[in-house]
Amino acid sequence: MKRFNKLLGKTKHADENMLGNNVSPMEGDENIALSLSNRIEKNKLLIEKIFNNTIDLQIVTFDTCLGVLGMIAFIGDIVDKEAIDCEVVQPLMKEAKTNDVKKLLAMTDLKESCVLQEIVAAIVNGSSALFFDHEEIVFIINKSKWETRQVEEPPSESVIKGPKEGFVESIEVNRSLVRRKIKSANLVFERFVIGRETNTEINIGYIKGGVNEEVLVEARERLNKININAILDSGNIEELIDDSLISPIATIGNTQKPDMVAAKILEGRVAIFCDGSPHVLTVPHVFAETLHSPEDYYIRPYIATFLRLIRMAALVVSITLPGLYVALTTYHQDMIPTVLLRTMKGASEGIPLPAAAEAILMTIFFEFLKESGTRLPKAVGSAISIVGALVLGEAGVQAGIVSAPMVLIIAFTAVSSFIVSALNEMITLYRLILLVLSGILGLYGLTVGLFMMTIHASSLRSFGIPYLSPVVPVQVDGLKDFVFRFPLKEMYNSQFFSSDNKYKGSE
Amino acid sequence: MKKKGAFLCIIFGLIGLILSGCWSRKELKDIGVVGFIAMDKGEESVDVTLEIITPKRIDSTSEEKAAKILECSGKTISSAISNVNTIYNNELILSHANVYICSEAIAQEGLMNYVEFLNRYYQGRRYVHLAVIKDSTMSEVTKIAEEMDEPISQHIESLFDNYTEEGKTASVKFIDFLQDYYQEGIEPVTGVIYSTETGGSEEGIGVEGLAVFKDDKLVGFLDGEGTRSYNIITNKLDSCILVTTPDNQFGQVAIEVLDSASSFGMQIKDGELLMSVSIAIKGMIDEAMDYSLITEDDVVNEITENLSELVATQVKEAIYQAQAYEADIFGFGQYIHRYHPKVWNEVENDWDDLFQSLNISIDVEVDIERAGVTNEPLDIQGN
Repeated sequence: MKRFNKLLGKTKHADENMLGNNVSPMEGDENIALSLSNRIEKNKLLIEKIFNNTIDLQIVTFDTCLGVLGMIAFIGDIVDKEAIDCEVVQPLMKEAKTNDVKKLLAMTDLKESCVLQEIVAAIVNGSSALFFDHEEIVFIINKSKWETRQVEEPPSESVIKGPKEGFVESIEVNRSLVRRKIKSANLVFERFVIGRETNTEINIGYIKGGVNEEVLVEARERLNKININAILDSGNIEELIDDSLISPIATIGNTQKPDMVAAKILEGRVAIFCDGSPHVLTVPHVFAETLHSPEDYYIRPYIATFLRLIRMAALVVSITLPGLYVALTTYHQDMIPTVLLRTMKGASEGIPLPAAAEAILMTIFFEFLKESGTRLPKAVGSAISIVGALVLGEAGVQAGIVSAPMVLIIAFTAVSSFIVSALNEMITLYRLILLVLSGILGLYGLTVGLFMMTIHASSLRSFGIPYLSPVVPVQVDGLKDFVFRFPLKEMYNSQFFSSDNKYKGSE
Repeated sequence: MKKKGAFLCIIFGLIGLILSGCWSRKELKDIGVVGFIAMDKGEESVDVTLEIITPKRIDSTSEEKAAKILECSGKTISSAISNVNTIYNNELILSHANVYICSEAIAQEGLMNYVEFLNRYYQGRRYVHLAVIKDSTMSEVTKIAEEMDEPISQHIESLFDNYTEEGKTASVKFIDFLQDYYQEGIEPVTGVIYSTETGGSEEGIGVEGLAVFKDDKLVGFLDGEGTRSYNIITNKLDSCILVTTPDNQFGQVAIEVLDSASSFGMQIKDGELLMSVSIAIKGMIDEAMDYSLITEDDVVNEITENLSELVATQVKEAIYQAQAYEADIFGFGQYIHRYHPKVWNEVENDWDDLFQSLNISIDVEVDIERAGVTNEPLDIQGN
């Protein structure tokens, strides 16, 4: 029964919330009963009251061939009116041989209901409610028409080889994109409705039998526990079901690529779709995934391995390089080759700031630049990048505010920080922390910082799975797809996260 | 409770950071990078000369010298170096020094007292060239340093590294000196620096030769050829050019040594200690100045014999010289100590005397493997 309710889009919370909210404005009006009646005028007043006379609610009354008055109620902007006219109103108004409404309408997406909140939920979701006079049963016709974007390549996750399509804001389209990759009866979607006001549709998708059951149960539980007014994007969901909100490391993956979601579902993960968001979440999410790109599996294994090594190096560089530079130049000059030290000393002569302050200043300058680059309109954005490059790089050195090696270091760091884009937010924060630590304590501080970061990462869990697996704890099968990408034949990591694996997800 | 714990962690973390507060922070612009440390004996004091490497400015147009020379003196090396800061404003970084230079005077007095500071101080490094100034004064060498376009310490280091290829100097690091000093049956050596006057006003630095020590006291020098022989005997030779003049019919022939290996041997005959050195040299003909056909076997044999004789003579000469200094720089004693410890126990106490009159036989085997890219010599046209 519970499952049945879910399929109807009625979770426990959703029901309670909806009623409580919609009924409250009517408290002052005692004349109208809070239940459906079999009189069409009363129902009309009831619906109008419930929707607070909003202008986009349309209620049309018409004579039907059945000899009674018919009334259809829907929200005009999200309903395909042409389809309603042709497929609902016209058949009902024409002379007909039968009195059976189902036969008259002849459509698959037709439901009967006499529960008020179900009808209201259907109307806000783009369905139309068909009332008849002297009849308690209401027909719900789903002829919704939402504006949606074309399926196109996601700009933030472009690949050279492999599928180019990306998710859009419509959950139906997103589901269909994944279903197209996995044509199996074992691919299961479950529906949740979350958000007291927004009633956002959330789906979870998994492979029945292949999924790690503990993760699945945990995901359902966390979604059910959410009690919030509004869900506007999957980012909200991510925050609400996160393992550790205080950690800068994300333990929930997100992607815009259907092939990636399909691959993760097939590996035994659970995907969380959110209506209105082109980002689909996947859990559990471990560190290894941040180094991977969907392209890795479409190119030669050793080339993929090389690319992963590059990404690994870029990750290390983007976190530690400014800190290392500051530590070496202010505490451990003996570790720099003499010839280089001579040039670096020449470059830093006449710079007013200490190296640590200089590095922090430049890092923050770069963050300014990055932020303005993403927020500004494209036309202005290019101007910003030119100004940034010229002002921060060339002119900064010429004016004697920053040294040339520092510009080089920050630029190199910036370039490498985009390579592991999945960890972008964490990289920026960690870089600054390490910069401050090495400015105060030198290499010792850098080491302490890195230690603390590693300890923190190994303490994290994503839906019960340790964040650093398959390295900690060691999982030989998992290691075949960590830094090395073994040939597909050699890997059976598709079962890595599944429950029949030797490895248990919990303690 | 959890929040309180996190709060306390942050507070204590910050206290730790603030109290330690950038301890021993040195900005690049406030340091003076020392290139070499040269030590000399003054009157009742130690004179130290430091080379401060000047920073290299990419866009500079001024004719700035590569290095600045600072002189100072004190009762000890460390006090002399700290006295530098009365005339120089930046903090000195000694860890970048490429070469430690000693004058003949302090080398003769005993080096250990002077290098003790460099061995003890945390900025001292043991993988640094150690050299003694020969036939020149300290000021002559430092005067050259001031006029060079690159820091002279780097110049000297590359001279040592490259000249070793020729075999006429040995790349002796501070740590090698200490090892040879402390080990039984071997005496230490160091490199040699002198100023050269190649005509006119042009002056430079030369590194040919070797300084021979007895314990930590300088007793004499080996010349370039002696040093090469030292390298051959102690198996340190990488490659070099040996020039030989085979009997009358051929001109000069230059052989490039590709590989040289030596091994010691010991025998006791009639109660007398006999040492032997066998040397195997593999070579390639680089240059044959007469128009002879070196493809012929007897010609190659002639060259081979000649070369082994030459090497044997030179090696013998070097050994005689070391015996004259009473310094077993080749480590014959060390060999006995390692491979014939019972014999060593008997000879240990009077090894110095024994070495002086030690009978050492030399056996040289030369193998010419290649003759370059041509077999026939160049011929003058018309002949």
